[in-house]
Amino acid sequence: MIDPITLEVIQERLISIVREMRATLAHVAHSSVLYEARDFSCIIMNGKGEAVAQSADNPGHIIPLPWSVRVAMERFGDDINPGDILIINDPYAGGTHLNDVAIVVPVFIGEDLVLLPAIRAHWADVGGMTPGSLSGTSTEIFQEGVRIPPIKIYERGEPVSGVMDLMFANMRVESERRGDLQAMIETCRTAEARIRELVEKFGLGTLFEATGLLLDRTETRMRRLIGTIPDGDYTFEDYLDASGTSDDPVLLKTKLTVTGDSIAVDFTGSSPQVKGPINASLAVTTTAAFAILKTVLDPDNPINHGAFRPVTVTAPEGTILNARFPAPCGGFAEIRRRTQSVVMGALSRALPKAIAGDVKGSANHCYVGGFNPETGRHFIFYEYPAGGTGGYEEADGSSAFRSFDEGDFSSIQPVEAIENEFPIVIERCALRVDSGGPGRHRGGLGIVREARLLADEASYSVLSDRCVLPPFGLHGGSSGAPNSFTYRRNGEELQPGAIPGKATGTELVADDVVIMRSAGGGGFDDPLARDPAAVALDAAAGYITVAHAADAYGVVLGPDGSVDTAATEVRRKALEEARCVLRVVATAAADAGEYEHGRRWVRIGAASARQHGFVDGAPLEVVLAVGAPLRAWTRVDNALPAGGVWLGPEGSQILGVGQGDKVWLRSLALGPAELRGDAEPRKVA
Amino acid sequence: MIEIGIDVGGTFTDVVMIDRAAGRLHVAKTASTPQDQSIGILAGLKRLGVDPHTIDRFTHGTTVATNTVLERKGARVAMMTTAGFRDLLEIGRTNRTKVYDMKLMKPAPLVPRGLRFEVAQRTHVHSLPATPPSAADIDAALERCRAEGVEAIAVCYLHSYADPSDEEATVAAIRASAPDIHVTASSDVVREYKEYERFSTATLNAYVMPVMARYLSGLEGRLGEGGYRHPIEVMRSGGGLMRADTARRYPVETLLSGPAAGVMGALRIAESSGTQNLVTYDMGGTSTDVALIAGGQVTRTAETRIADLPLKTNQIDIVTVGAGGGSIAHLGIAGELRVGPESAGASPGPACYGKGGDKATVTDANMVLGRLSSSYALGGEIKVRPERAEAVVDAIAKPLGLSREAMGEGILKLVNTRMASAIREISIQRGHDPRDFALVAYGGAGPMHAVDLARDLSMPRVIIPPAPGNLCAFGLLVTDLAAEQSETLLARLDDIDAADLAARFAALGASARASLVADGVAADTITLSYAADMRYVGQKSDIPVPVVLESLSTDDLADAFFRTYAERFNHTFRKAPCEIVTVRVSAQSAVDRPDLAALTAPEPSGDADASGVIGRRKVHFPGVGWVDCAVYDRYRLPPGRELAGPAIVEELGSTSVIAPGDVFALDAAGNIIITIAPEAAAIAAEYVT
Repeated sequence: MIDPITLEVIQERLISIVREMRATLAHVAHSSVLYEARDFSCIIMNGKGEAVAQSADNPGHIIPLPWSVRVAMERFGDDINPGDILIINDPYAGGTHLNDVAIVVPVFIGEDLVLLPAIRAHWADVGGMTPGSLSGTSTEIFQEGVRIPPIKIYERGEPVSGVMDLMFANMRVESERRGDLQAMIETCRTAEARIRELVEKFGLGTLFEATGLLLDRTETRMRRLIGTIPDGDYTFEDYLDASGTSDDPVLLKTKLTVTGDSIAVDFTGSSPQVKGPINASLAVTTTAAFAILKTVLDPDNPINHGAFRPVTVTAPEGTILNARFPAPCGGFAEIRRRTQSVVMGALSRALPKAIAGDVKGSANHCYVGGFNPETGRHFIFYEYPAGGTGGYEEADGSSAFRSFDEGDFSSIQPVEAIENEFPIVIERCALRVDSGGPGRHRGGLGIVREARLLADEASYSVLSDRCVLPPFGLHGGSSGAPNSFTYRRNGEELQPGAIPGKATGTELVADDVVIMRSAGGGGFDDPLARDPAAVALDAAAGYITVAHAADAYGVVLGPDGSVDTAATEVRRKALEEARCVLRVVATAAADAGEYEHGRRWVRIGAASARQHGFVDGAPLEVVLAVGAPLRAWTRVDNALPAGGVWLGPEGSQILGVGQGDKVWLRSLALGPAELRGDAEPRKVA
Repeated sequence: MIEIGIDVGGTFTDVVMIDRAAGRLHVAKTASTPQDQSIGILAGLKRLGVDPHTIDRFTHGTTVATNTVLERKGARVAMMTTAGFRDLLEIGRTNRTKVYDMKLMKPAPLVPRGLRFEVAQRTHVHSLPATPPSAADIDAALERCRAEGVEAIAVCYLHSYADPSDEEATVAAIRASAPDIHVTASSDVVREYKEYERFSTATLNAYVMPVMARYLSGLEGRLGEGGYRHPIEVMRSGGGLMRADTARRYPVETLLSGPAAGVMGALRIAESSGTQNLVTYDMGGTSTDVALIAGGQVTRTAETRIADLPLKTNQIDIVTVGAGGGSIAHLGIAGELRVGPESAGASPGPACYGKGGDKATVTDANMVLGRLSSSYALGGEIKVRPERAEAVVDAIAKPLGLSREAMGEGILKLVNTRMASAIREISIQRGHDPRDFALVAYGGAGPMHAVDLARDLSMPRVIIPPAPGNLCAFGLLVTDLAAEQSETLLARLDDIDAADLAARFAALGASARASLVADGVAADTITLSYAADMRYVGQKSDIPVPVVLESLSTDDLADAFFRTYAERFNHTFRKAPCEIVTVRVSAQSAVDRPDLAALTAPEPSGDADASGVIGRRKVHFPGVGWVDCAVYDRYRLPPGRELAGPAIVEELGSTSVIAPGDVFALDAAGNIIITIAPEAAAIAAEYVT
């Protein structure tokens, strides 16, 4: 029996190998997406394809990696030999999107398969219909590049050149791709050398025993932590703005069932897979669910496969969360983020103090590309601006800060680097005033960045979300401002593309100004409960306007910026009384449906609707004192009694309310952007 | 000639005095006085019996700036910046240091939003008309600064690295109308591009300026009252000294003052024993600093963080891990043993210090294994309580079914593993093999762990310098006066004319030389060294490449870059277009270094047969068990004689542990040189008792 000290030492050594892999790949990689954006992850697995050690960065593709490896190992069975190297990027086989290419290097000592270092890295191009391979308009996976099922690119130490040649012949900038593959192999070889040192030091038996125990121990940890959540079902739902090929929202639903020390997460009821690239594999869905549980329960400890054992994730095949061939999966990261939001929403009722308000909820990819007359070369200016983080029990959210599921690298480039490199002038980089979701603890602010084009022309592409439905607040806190990507031409602000946040190759001309606005974080708890002094400080610093202080927080400020206590009291009372608080009615007309056009509808009596300004089809949220709000669209129903609202059986169940309970309906139609004064009239270009 | 080196740390103020006439070195340690560090300094001088008027040279490593930043107790700072960009300082690069934490708070900028003033001003790199700074905006901002009681202003304009004239004009305007406010220009602190990192460094500088000015004036006053008549020299993070006036202008350069002095001290000590390849290892109460020196060259970096704020000054590349003597061992919810990063610090301290600590620390583990003396610690100032160490170690050993010794050993093994990871990071990950390096161990706890750590890393040799607890103070006295200058160049090598480049280096060199001369250094003692930070075209991070100015050719420079790159990243030599990002010059004036070997040579013992053994005690060694072990007094070790481990060597403020199988000897310069036995040999059954 191995002693607990050796166990710890082996764990530290394994993690240190993964850290070395990260450092090595960042240095030897050939493309900037790897060495600058660090869009890759490293892992060491055991012979069963279970994660033994991994780095803390980039949960997005590190957690699904073992899925790919298990698929590969099933495929090859006993036919994995010393000197083999496997490669895979197939989303339907535990992958993410085709750009994320994984290699696995089995390490043998004699006949024994010891451990498998592996890397998944984002390749800047894997072929397909557009440079970069990712497009918001793809409708099947063939358009997104070369699909690689688990295959060998090295057999018993010899490169399988035919396979490599075929693969690279179908990708752009072949030399860079070959360089990236070489860098990944070299990095795994470094890990292999370290693993051999470990075996030499501790012996094979001890190493096997240790990795087994490490997994068991992490499982024990996770089970004890899950045991702290009250047993029960926790449900929630939320939306992606649009699939890319239609502007209908895309529904995600979840049910968390906590039973003792295990959790089942079920996504039944989520939208069928869509025609656009917003689809994901079950591996991605599982990653998202796990990332939230890890964040909420056990943020500080190393992760290995043991942590997954108490968690089961299911999603019906053919949904956006478990997409079937040939659905395109380029935008899987959007799904991952929203999946996190729904799981967060569900947990917000189980662990109200552990969860923060929602975040920007999108990768926010923004590209401006064209020809640079100064250098005579093509350029791509690429940023993915971070937003604000959500308010939480102890404090306000942070402004312009990457969210909990993103690693330690920047989302915007230095102005001085941009201007030296591109025909672009950054005219403004500022915090986005009034964008933080109001709450007792305010959400952090997003960013506004304005980039003027100096070249004669360029093309502008955006892959974003939460541009329509904003990040939600918690426990009565309001939404943060949604993301927004527009441009200004001759003083007029225009939206690229027909759907907010989705644009492919909108043409820009000289002097056009690209305006990126990232979302604010969701607020935490009732804004009317925020300390008026904190509101006054926010206004003095200019994080909020004086008007916003009065409208959102009910805090009236005097000319010198100090709180007018009497007026504030009156104002807060008036705002509270003006809230649309209705009583739940359990029954409605026989033909009343909860979901239509892929979205939820709530029915409001005509008089209440008139009084509070809800019109048919307007989006709203149903708010309770505890938990995340339920988003829905308005159906004015003359048959309902005055002051009544019908939420539907599932809606009532999500919120845990029944006949006669009071709920607060808050308009989303006004949209936080308009409320907060920074939305200028928008036109579709 | 009397020279003083004083390093003020968080807990102790270390003093080293070299008396050249007598050819001797004296050391002392006193408690630090955080409210005014100069009180502790004067106390330290008193302890050594030195009168300020007899001192010829006073060198200083200070944590004044560091503590000011870490505790956020700096000046009320304002910022004037290009219109449209006052939030840059708060937005930063948006990165987070920790994943899986929804409640992580971004560090607040040093200048609150209300004190970040925008000035209509714009410099362009494109051919667009520039806007000179608006005098009206500057005046309006100054008025607000006065009303708000601002003590320091950082002037931060875009592209000032390329053209600092707007910043300079604004600084002049501020000085003219508000001479009592400290002011700093971003281009004066860092002449390099990437505005956030430069602005952050400039605001850090402004933030500590008033504090440093007050402190240095106070210290100069106290020393002056005692009759000291020379300038104070302050250690900079890059491993050179600067005069006090320069430190007032660039206090941000002292943020790593003490640790840098330690590395320089370790370097000179190792050189005195003929070693040019070393890993410096400074283990204190809460953290451990490691750095790598290859071929006598200190590794430097220009991009680090302090308190999560970017700091872009040239400094020694020191990696810090949160593991030290005070690191606390505890059990996680699944019964897993964890050591650190929480530390018991100086208060309450380890349980065995009897000052209220009730958690098992690394020091307690050393205590239960007999490695630490059970009578006195820290140079005799603390009466230790071994039974308390036993109780706290037992408390975590029992739930795991471990013996006290196994737990003690386990704690040490874990903390060593963490420190070994840090050393792997600075060596293996940067293309160096630790087997080619000696480990120089210092700091209060370093000599106690060095042998195990070296063995784990297959390092052949450990060097324990004389007075290892005072090495940082000692390092001050063997460091050169230095000035560094850098500038962003940002050009592809193909587009560069070698003659232009040489001229650029020469101009930069002249400016570095001038700043040393302004510090009172004789021009003919100054030597210059040049480097270029380079990268492949398209990359975002760069590496420094040494440059020889005579016969400078771009082809040689490219080759030097390819070589350096391949070496550093274990990568194949790759010929591809590359570019120069930054050009650097370092000017140094070598101090008349004392003859270390002579100074630190052990006193000849009256008794030639003296063994140096002052007692024996049972010590527990990993894989061996309890061993009856000789305890030596370092001051009475017979020079040159090879001795065999196991052994304990005690001296004021430090204990060295030498394991069975290792051999050690005191060299001519007074270093303990330990030859590390390979792992298997150390576990010889004959030692088991």
